[in-house]
This record gives sequence, structure tokens and C-alpha cells, in this order.
Amino acid sequence: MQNLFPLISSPDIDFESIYNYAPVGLFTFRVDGTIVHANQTLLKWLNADAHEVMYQNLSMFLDRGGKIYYQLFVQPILRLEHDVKEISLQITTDKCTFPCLFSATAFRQTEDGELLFAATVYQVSHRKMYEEELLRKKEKAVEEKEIKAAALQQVAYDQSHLVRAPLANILGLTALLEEMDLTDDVRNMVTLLRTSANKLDSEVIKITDKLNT
Amino acid sequence: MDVLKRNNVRVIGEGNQTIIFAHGFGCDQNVWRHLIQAYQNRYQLVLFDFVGAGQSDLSAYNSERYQSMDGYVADVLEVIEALAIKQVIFIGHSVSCMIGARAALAQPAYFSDLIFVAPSPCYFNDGDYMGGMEKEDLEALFNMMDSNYLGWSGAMAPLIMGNTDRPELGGELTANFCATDPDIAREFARVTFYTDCRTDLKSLTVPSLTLQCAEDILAPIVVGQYINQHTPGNTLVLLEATGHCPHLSAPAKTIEAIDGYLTARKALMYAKPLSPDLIA
Repeated sequence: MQNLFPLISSPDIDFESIYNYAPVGLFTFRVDGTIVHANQTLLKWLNADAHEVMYQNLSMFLDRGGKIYYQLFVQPILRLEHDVKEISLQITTDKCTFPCLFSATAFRQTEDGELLFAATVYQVSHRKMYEEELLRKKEKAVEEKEIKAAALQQVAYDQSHLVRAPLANILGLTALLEEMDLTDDVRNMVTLLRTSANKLDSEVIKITDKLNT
Repeated sequence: MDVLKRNNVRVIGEGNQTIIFAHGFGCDQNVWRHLIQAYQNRYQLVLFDFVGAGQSDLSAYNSERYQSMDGYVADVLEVIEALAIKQVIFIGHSVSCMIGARAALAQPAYFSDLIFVAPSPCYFNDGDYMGGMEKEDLEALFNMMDSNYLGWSGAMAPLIMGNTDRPELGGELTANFCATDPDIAREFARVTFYTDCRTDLKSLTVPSLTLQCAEDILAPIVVGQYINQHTPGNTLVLLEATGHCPHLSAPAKTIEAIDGYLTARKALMYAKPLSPDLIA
């Protein structure tokens, strides 16, 4: 079978261009957050020159919530595990703002060299919109469920009060009828009427109990 | 209720005195790694996770108990009672510092010292008081937490508790020491960040140390000074460390400061019977 992909021997690949222009922000930072290297893609996304990014702390590029989150969650993981994955952050400077996924992993250039972190930043504007859409739908579903539950509660309340009141009248009148001088046929009918009305009452109670739980 | 299981309590190290470590908001007892190494040969160490964090028993969480700081204070006291330890050195980080302070107000006899790492009695700006945060900041943090579960998942949660010995779950479990049930984390944050403990400070009778970082987004330098000025028997040490977690970013300096304080305290205790006026 013919190979569909061209074979390129390694000297022909310009690694530096790939590093600089691949559609991913790449940078290196020290354990305290100081950025010591950034690729062209990241600079383009940040709409900044190298000197505006180099030797700055990476939390400078986060929004306020992100700064706190970085301190509370990301820093401890980096310090102890030396590796974080897929942290959702909002890059915010006075020149740009975009949501991204941030990953970083530790490395050393020499055996006893300084601990550095290699990091990637992926823009995820579309994914973020999708997530927000999902979240919105979930919140809407929860809200609708609550409205439905409240309506059912109301129905239960109405049933117990509105339906059972006339039923009580029927039962009361049936009791009065039973005290009267009746023929056997009529007495049987009145008894059946009372039994049925009682049954209806207990069914209504069952329904309202169920709706209230 | 097994308190030791509920709070995933670990007792390690050897020594006549006990140190209890209370982690702050965000992660779990793993954050004490460097301090454990430094102290396990000199002290008995008690480590635990607050309910909702780390490998605590999530089923023990109930919004009623933990709707105020009292629930977390009770956790600390119950752990101490369950282990029957006395004269404990409490080392707390961040929001746990005031949990420790309140525990010491309730049961002063349980504690010999309180060590506050990056504490704040009130995180919000209030008139002249500069807590450092505005209400919107906490909402922004909640939004961040909502979009980052850090590997936490409702399906995984029941497996995590008490299963550290199951290697097949290893990768999932160990990498996620900051992963927390987002609903619980949110309530924990709301309770601990919003509780104003400023008026508690003046009543503290247990001696304490405040370790303040030079650049801490959650506790500006003035907060450390505030605690020092308003707490009887408080020692303030400004650490040359940035960030909110000096026990991770500058462990050597943190340990040095704690050692310095504890040594001075010991010297003072020995001096007591000899010359009472020295400690006046």
C-alpha cells in the first residue's frame, strides 16, 4: 500500500518554526512563576512584545479570580506534584482576554540545574462557550424541575383542602340519611354511597401524601 | 461516628509533645510534606483532612454542622479528644488559623501554642481595615472552582476515601490531592472566608505565632500586623516568601521561624520557676 504521508528526514524539519508558530502557546517559567521564555504564538495571543512578557510573573496575565485560584490550588500542586493538567484559566491583560487550558510539567536542563516548568496554553473560546451553554441548560433544567415540584405541591394542597371539603359534606349527609327510616333497598344504596365516599377520601389522602414526599 | 476515619487522621513521628497540622482551603494534609520531614523525629505529628477535603469521609459532610466555623472547630477538638492528647502545638494554614484560634478559645487547656501560617481574621476590606479582598473576588474564585474540578468526579469520590492502598486507583487518587467536591468546597470557602474573627483575637490566652508572607494576595502585610497588635501573647515573623503557601514555597524559612519561636518559648518555660519577673 502506498504511504499517503510524505516522509521527511529530520534535517528538513525546522523545529524552531514549529516551536514558535504551532497553534499553541508555549512558555517556560521558574517555580516562583517568573516567565523565562515564550513562543511567538503566545506573544501574538497576548498581543505583546517579548520584553513585556519575559521575567514577568505568570499570574500577571490572569484575572483576579485566576490569581487567587493559582495561589490556592495550582501553586501547591506544582510545588508538590511538579505537574498540572488542563487548568481552565482566563488570560486577561489590558491588551487581550481569552479563556485557555493551562498545563505545565517540571524539567531540569542539567542534573543539578534549576527546576523549570514547560507549559502549554490552548485557547478554548469555543469549548468555553459550549460549556457555558451546557451549564446554562443544566441550571435551566434544575429551575424548571423546582417550578414543577412547587406546582405539584400546590395541587396537593388544593386537593386536600378543596376536594375533601365537599367530600366531607357528602359523608355527613350520608350519615344523616342512614339515621332515617329507610327501606332496605335504599339503605343498601346509602351504605354503598358511604363506602364509596370513604374510599374516594382515602384515595385523595394517598395522592396528596405522595405528592408531598 | 469514627472521628479518626471521618477526618482521615494520621499519627506519625515520635516525641513528647504533639503537633497537629490543619490544612487550609484548597488542598489537604499533603501540603505539610516538608514540615513533616522536619518534625517527625522530634514531635508526635497529627495530620487530618477537614470533612470534604482529601480523603475525609464525604458522607460525614452535612450542611447544617458545617454551615458555620463551629463545625470545623468541633472537628479539631474532636480529633484531639479522640487521640487523648494534651498541650498540643496547633499549626494551621490560611483559613484554618482562625479555626485553631476558636478551638483554643473553647478549650484553652488543649493547646500549648498556636502557629498561624498566612492567617487572616477577616479577608474582606471593611472601613479602615484592609483585609485585601472584595466580595466579587470570592465570586470570581468560585467561578474558577466551578470550571476546574482538578480530577474530582462524583463517580470517583466514593472510591477515593480510604482506598489509598489500592494501586489500580493510584494515578487517579494521588494526583488529585487538591481535588474536592465542588459543592462542599464552595460551602467551606463561604464559611471560612466570610467569618469575621477579629473580635475573637483579644480573648486568646494561648500564646501564638503569626507567620506573615511578604507578598500574599489573600493576606496583606497589614493583616499580620493587625493580628499581632490585637492578640495577647502573639509573636509576628515576616517571612521572606511570596505567595500564600510559605510551607511549600519557602519551607526552610518557615521551619526556621517556627523553630526559633518554639525554642524561645521553651526557654521562657524553663525560666519561669527561676525568675518570674523575666516573663512579666
